[in-house]
Amino acid sequence: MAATTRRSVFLIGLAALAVWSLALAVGVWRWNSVLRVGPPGRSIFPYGELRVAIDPSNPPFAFPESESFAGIEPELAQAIGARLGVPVRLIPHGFDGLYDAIRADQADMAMAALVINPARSSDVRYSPAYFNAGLVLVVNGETPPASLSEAFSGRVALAYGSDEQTEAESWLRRVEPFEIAPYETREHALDVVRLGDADAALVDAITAGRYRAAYPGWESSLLQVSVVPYAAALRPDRPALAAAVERTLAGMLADGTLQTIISRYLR
Amino acid sequence: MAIILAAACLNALRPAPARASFGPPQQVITTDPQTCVHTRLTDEVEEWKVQRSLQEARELGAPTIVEFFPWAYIESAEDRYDWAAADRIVRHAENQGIRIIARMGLVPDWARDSDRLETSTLNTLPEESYADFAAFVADFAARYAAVIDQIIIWNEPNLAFEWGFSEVDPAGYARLLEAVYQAAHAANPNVEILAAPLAPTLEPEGSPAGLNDLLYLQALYDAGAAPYFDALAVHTYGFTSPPDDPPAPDKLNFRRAELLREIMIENGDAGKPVYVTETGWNDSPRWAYGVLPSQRASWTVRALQIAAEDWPWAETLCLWVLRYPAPSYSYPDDFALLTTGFQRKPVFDAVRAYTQGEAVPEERWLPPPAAPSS
Repeated sequence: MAATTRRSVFLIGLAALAVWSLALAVGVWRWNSVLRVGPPGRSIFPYGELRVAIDPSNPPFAFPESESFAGIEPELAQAIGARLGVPVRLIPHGFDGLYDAIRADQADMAMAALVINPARSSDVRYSPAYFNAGLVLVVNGETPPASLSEAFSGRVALAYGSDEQTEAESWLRRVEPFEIAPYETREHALDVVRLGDADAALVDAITAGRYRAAYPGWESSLLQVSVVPYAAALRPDRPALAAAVERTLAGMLADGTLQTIISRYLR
Repeated sequence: MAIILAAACLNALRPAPARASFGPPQQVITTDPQTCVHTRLTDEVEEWKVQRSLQEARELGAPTIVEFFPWAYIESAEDRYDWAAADRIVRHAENQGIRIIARMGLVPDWARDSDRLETSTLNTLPEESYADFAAFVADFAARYAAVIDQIIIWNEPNLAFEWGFSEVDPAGYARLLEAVYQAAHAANPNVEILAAPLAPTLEPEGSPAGLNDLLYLQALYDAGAAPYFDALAVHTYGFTSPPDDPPAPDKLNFRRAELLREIMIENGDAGKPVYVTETGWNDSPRWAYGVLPSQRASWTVRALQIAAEDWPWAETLCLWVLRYPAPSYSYPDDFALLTTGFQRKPVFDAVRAYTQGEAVPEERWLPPPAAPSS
């Protein structure tokens, strides 16, 4: 009798242990399968913050404002930090020292109008592009020309001695002749289009965006001519951080946050 | 076999690489021999672009260029030298009748602390490697003796990032000059060792970013550096001020070079020349320190006139920068006199007219429209 009781107790205990183990396994699996916001791991942010090198001499991407910094890149950095649940420290740097700041671990990331440069791919890992600073043709009206061949026609205004002039001269060899109208500044080139004295202005996307923001009532449209991708640069030996920034930027692109930030400065 | 033959045929059809054959030796014609331009030829891949750049420098009327010869590129492994890129630049410069001032820097991996390699930069030079750097400078001085007789030791050591993100250290830099000086002079008795140009900055003592250039230069003298340099290299930028703007210790402008000169005189170094190895203005439309292209052109010419008339102690006034091999697509590109595609900017035309004794060229752009933007 005593032996039978002991055996029953043993079997019940064994069954309970099996159920408990199963519940534990399911619980762990469920816990790990849920993406939850929590304190960032030390492996991603070894300093407990996201240190972002910026160049505050380059508006609208970054500039000083009331003892701090404003602009597209400081806003973007703060938004990334908020989504990752980590405080952001903005570190001002001159343009020349940005890549060295990453290498010397003075910053986790540089956001300073840096163009993806394949020659630096062994030194840094770039995020997806957050802005295209390439050349654009700006024309009157809300409907852009259907093609670049169509857009490079009539009278094209641009800044004298600029990359735009080189680009326009190269198009002269590809399409029907058009007139190049050189001005001292890109803003003057945009003025003549807005005032109806030229058919298009060939400028960089930043100049176009600032100018159009300054004239919100001007009905104009853009046609992209070249691609110059601005991206964040990160240390290549912190892939977890790079992946987190990439995921966050992708999310901000998908839900419109990125465009909302940019459109506060550029149209 | 057929595939190999087809590949060989296709390879034979590939265009030959662009060549840069030497023409007859040229001479720089200029009314202002102080005129100089800083080039960026070391990073240039295509030889014809090196040649074209130097032709443009000659047409600019610049008998002198400053060029960077990185230690890390030439001696990437200890005692193994690759002089090909440097030789190429030197040959083309000679062909165009242009003198070179060489800037030395960038530390190869083998000369850096192996324990800190992942977080050190090419500007990190441990003190135990000073002798290696001095040996490299001596090798360079010997190889190019009578062709390159001015050598700049390091760049802007008063900025933390140019000093490997270590605390800036005038006494440490003085010891570097001491290490280099004897070795270089032994290799080429005619060499002039130029103390590094300092970055124009107002950073106070204790700043993690760097140190005010005026304070740094005095500290360099206090550290006993005077016997170990033959001339001082100077960087002086105009930023948003015109060239005649008077200098002041709390102001960054073109004539700040005069304050550095005063410190030399106060320290008994009046007999040493100055080489202004970087100067100029930037015509970026957005950079906080940019000016209009027309201002940049006229101010640059006026700066050359000021140096010619009032700075007899200045051997050169070198404009930063002739051209970049590749654009950054940001405001630094607007320091260039030529775009990467060799498009001449207005400042180039203005300086060229000045050095050729021609009238300042008519503005080559159209007048702004009647109702311009504000």
